[in-house]
Amino acid sequence: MSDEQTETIANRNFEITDQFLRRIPPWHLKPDGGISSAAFQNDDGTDMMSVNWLKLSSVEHTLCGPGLIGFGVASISAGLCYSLNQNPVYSPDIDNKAHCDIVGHKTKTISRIFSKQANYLRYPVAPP
Amino acid sequence: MIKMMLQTQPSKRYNRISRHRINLDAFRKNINRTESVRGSMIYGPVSHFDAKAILRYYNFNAIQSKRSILDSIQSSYDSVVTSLKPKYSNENSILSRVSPNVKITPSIPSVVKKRIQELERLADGWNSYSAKAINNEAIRMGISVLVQISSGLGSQLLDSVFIAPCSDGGIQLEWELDLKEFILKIEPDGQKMFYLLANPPKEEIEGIINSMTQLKTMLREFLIS
Repeated sequence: MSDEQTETIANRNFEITDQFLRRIPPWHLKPDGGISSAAFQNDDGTDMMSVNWLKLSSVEHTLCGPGLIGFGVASISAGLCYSLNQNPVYSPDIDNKAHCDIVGHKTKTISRIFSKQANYLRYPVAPP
Repeated sequence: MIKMMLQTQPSKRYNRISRHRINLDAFRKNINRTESVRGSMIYGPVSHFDAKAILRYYNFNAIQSKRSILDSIQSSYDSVVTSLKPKYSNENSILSRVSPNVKITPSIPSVVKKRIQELERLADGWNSYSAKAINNEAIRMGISVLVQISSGLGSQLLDSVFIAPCSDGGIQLEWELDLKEFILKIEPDGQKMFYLLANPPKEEIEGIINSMTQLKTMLREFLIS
């Protein structure tokens, strides 16, 4: 996708079917296979949680980078975000045009719903 | 103060009843480093009645020499340390028979210690975003909470806890029981705690923990409801 195209879609509202990818650290994998709600908390000191927009990204792209051994990838929909009063915002980085933020205060309940309703495209692997 | 350790070791002497036997010498060697002793720590004074409940709890009711153990504890020992697995799932009903002046403090299981060490090693950015390293104060508070709640509610909470790192440098203690879930968030400075209780089909509840008594009450209800 060209720069012009990404610029055009920067201001659009997401469709409820749009998907966002979030890396899941191996330390959030529970012994029973569940994922801790702590995997869906805002970045420290902000009201935003970083994700990649699936239309401009992929599991492989999301896991591309150093130090991501054992990480998994979860997918959450824009519809789920909207239903929880969370606002997905397109916020591309210089080195990551798929970058978005899910903006909004995340109560423990909201984080838990994300962890329960996310679609895990790649499961994290427990640390040795 | 004389202490006694009951540990799981094969014993021909008591082969009829169990693998358990009393090893006083082993405990005396560990008397100054009790943190290395696995299992529960029980501080006296332990009455005859207390000892009976404790020994029953730890599956000692079948031991041939039960009478002599009970007598020994009553007359000579004011503290007991055991590393035996509880026989009964309903720990509270058994332990509630012990008088209030006997404090039972389970030590941290090795699997929990290992997990804590794992979290202590996490550096800034451990979640690949902008997470902070886990604050020592949060870990210290987490351990304190685990020991305190377990002293009143039995070892079930210690055995089943999942400790999750949080992006702000705090930690979460998480318990799941059937469909129920209890999450205790400890802030990075270890000063504030928040909870989430999910107990379907009831609505989820979350709030702040104001005291250890409140937390114990909530966890007790979580276990039995």
